[in-house]
Amino acid sequence: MTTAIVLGGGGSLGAFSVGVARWLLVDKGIRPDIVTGTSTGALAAVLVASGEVSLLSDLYTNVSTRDVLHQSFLGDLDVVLHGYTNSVEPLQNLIDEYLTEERRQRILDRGVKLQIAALNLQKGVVEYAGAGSNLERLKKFVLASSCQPALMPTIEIDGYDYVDGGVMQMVPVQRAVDIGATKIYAVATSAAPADRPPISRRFPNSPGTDVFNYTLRRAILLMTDQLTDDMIALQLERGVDITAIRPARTQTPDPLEFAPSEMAAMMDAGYLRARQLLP
Amino acid sequence: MPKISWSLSTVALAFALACGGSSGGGGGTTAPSLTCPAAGLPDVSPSYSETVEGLVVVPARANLRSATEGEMSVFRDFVLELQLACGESPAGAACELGALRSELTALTTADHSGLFTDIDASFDAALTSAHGDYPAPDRDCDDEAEGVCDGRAIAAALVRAVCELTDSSDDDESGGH
Repeated sequence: MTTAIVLGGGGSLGAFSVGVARWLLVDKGIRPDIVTGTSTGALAAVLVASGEVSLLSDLYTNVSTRDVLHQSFLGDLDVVLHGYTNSVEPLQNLIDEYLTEERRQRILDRGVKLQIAALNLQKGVVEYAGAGSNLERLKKFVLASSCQPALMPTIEIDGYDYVDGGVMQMVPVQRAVDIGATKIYAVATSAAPADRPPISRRFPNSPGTDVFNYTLRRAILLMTDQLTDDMIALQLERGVDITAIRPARTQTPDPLEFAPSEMAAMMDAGYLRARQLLP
Repeated sequence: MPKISWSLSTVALAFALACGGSSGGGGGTTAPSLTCPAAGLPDVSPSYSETVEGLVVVPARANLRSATEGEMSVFRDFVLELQLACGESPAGAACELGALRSELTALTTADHSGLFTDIDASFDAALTSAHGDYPAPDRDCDDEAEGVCDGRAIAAALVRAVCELTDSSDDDESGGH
């Protein structure tokens, strides 16, 4: 059996995945052969692959919005001026600090296949980088994987523009299957459609007129529904055993708001949800 | 005269509030209160103790979310005693892992019979994981016995769990613990 942990996108809601990972890796003692991740799941995937779930959970309970994004006070107008509304320089610094050469080597030494998904805009395909890539390329993929189009800039890698792999592979189970996974724990950060109550048209802390931000941020959450279709297809066609772990209900509507207390709550929900589903 | 009395009362109240502390249970000037860790991003290369702490705090906090006010109060008192014992040099007997676990599982719960035993049960997996990642010579235990070293790390995690839950109602995006 080849086991994979697949971590989906969702910005700050990724804290839910961290709680799930805490249960799977520590309490269940699962040692994955493959770890794939998109967007916030890309950041988490690095530390899941290196087996450092303690550091991962500490990071996700201490990080704040200003550690990840620089939000313009111009709001929607910034799209016209710059093409995106948030600078990711803080996130880049965070990746530089935590994605070290030692950590990349540790993943290789553990024999875990790490795969980070980012969308190549020119080619129109999702591409992947792993610990076998050189450090700079891996860092760029992790950053690109987190950059939701229009909310954040595109990242240039080898002459191509890359953005969040979640645009096409929000929960990258297909990649895990393609490289040999037969047992998959797939973590999506938003609740299933039936468990999602309608939300307010405005996010409380969003800048500007909000129409643009609201639409895109909401879309981030809803893209996770792709998982359901992927799972059905893969289980029927390829015989892969997939366990999907999603929140019982959506806890916060704004995936770009990184509030420590809310992230701690989501992490705890992930831990308890995984414990409930996989006792 | 009434105005003066009102002003003095206000100043006295403000002073009392300012001296009351944010996480401690006691309101008196001599009652010890829980000392919460400073907020901040974690060390890029965490020590053994920090690793144990990070592994234990999640299940502790998750379980405590369903605690009643009474259970939380009992737990907070337990953790405060633990913090004091672990802060002594050498560490007090209550800081040793075996004693800590006995005390924890002996705490009474009115509403959730498994609350404190569930927290205790999470220690084994956390310690097994951390022991696997850090051979004994690599641990920051300062020549202390393993039980004291582990007890100290777990105590720090339990303190954090209480602090994070206590602060969760009033922190914002810049907040911490």
